[in-house]
Amino acid sequence: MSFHHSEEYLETDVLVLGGGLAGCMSAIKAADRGADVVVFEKAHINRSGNGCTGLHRIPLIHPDYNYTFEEFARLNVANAAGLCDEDVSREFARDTLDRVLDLESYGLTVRKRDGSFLFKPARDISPGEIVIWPPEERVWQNVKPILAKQVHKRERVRVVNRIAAIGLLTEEGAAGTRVVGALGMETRTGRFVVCSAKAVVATSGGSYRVGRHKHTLYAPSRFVECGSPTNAGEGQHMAYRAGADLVNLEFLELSPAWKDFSHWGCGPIMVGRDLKGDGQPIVPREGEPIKMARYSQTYTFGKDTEGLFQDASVIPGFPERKGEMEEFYIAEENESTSYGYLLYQRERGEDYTKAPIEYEWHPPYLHNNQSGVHMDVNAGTSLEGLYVAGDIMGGGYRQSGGGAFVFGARAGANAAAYARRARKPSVVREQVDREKGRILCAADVHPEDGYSWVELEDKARQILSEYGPPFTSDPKLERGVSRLERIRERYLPRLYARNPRELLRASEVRAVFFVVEACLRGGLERKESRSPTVSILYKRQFPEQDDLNWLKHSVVRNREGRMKFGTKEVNRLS
Amino acid sequence: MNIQYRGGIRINHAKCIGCKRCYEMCPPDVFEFDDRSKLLRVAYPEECWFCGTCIFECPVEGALTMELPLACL
Repeated sequence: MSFHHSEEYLETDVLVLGGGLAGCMSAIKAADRGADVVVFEKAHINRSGNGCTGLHRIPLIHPDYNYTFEEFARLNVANAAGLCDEDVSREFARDTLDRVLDLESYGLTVRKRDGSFLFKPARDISPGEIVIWPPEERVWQNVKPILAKQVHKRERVRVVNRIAAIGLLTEEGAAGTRVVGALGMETRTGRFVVCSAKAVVATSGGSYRVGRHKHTLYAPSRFVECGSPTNAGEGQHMAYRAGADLVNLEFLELSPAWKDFSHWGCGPIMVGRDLKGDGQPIVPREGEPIKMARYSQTYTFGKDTEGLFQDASVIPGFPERKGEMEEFYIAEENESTSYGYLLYQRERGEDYTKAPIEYEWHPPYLHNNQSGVHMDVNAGTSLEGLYVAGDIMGGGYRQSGGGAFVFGARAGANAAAYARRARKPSVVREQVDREKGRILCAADVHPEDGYSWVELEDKARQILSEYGPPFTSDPKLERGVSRLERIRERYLPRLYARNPRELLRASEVRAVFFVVEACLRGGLERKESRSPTVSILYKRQFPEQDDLNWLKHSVVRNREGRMKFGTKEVNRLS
Repeated sequence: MNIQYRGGIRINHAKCIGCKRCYEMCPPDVFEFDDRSKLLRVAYPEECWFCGTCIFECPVEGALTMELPLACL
């Protein structure tokens, strides 16, 4: 089967992969530092990524309001069960006010009439964190068009919509060398774009298609996922192939979502977490202090929680894994601004502000603070010339758009500074062809002899769901790895694509396989149980958290095409 | 087997002005637009994320409407 495989060449200082919240901020800051910028956007920059239909809050850390930067860093690291670099958390806090002021200058409302910030304590992000709360529900639904307008205003930035990044290009075409550009593919035509760049910023999001979907085989809701289903982990997969360090991929995010509508979620607070559990629900009594396991805060049951607590033990079928974890939930916020979510509330006849509503576990996904491409305080990675920000990053901080703005800005500014002093990039032709071949092979498979992206993706997600975290064991993980290997070797090469759109999905499915494999293998490597922010890895053989040996980032690297695991010390402030 | 599901985006062709904004913006790219006939259709309903970008962007009230899948209700 043949498509139109024409090729275009671009050259730039800074190439941004993904035009979501982090990508927009990167492009803006890189251009403001005098760099020429190209943005590859898989969808349309006005409405793409997890913020496509809005954002309901952004963090603001400041000693005048809540915490010193060091205090926040310590608390954030504690929330992450130690798996966040403390310097990254501190630097995040340090920049939040500047980013809030940026957003205000772009036209977003962040203050009350009296000039003070619109604050509301958000108890479900991290301890004492204060968020700016949009004054009207719809105002911040336009955060993406507003940011995109800022991008478009800058003449140095060229946005190319409907281009998916397919692979990073490196200086010698080999893993572990400087990143010098990327190969993109126009999602509607199959046209390739080779962009050489002095620096690359990857802001391509998390991976939301790895856990088994509860509506599998139910066609109209295949893509009802917690985060944007256009993000399948291709950025992580690309960075891995290029030789970057990825950390803690065994920790997938595990969060509750509204029952039956696994959309960008709710505002729950988890309390009373009992990892080992004896099957008995933990029911607090009136007036009893409740320690927030996730956020180290203490509330008084009744006084602080009236009308807000959902006693999980009384909801039929929830939590699904009784005896392994018992939690209670507070629905205190409307965290989603999506239209579907608003419709869901109306159609279902439930109002979370008036009465507790039902939750369920969302299938796990790659999104949390600790898991992703390892990022330093400058938004740099272990590879020269590669910067990351937003949900792709690991080992640091990214919550609620705040990480996207803070590290998006740092990534853009630092990439521009690096580009000024960097050598001219040179793209290796063989690598371009190799990256093209990696997905074009699907076009050579006849559908009658092959498997669709849907079937292969479902299989990988099924394996993760059956064998992987959160509650697993070494024999299960080993079995999962061997099942996945067999499917990958025998059936993934038979993935077919009948058109450019299916080529894109083929690239995404390969990323899904990568994330699932890294998660299962990473789970085997870590010989302990641990529960960092919104995530759990519980292994029957190692039920305890082992700080002596495992208070470390687990690292996965590409070594000649195979996953090599190691560890890295977590960065601590002295 | 050809089962009809209600969930998804519905187009009121009497109201649609063919401006293509939904087609341009949709994150999972579920629309197709025929430039000759100016006809919009939902070509990949199973890949809809129900985010509502199309409805936010649509300049004509009621040209696009959303129904959730029964499984979500």
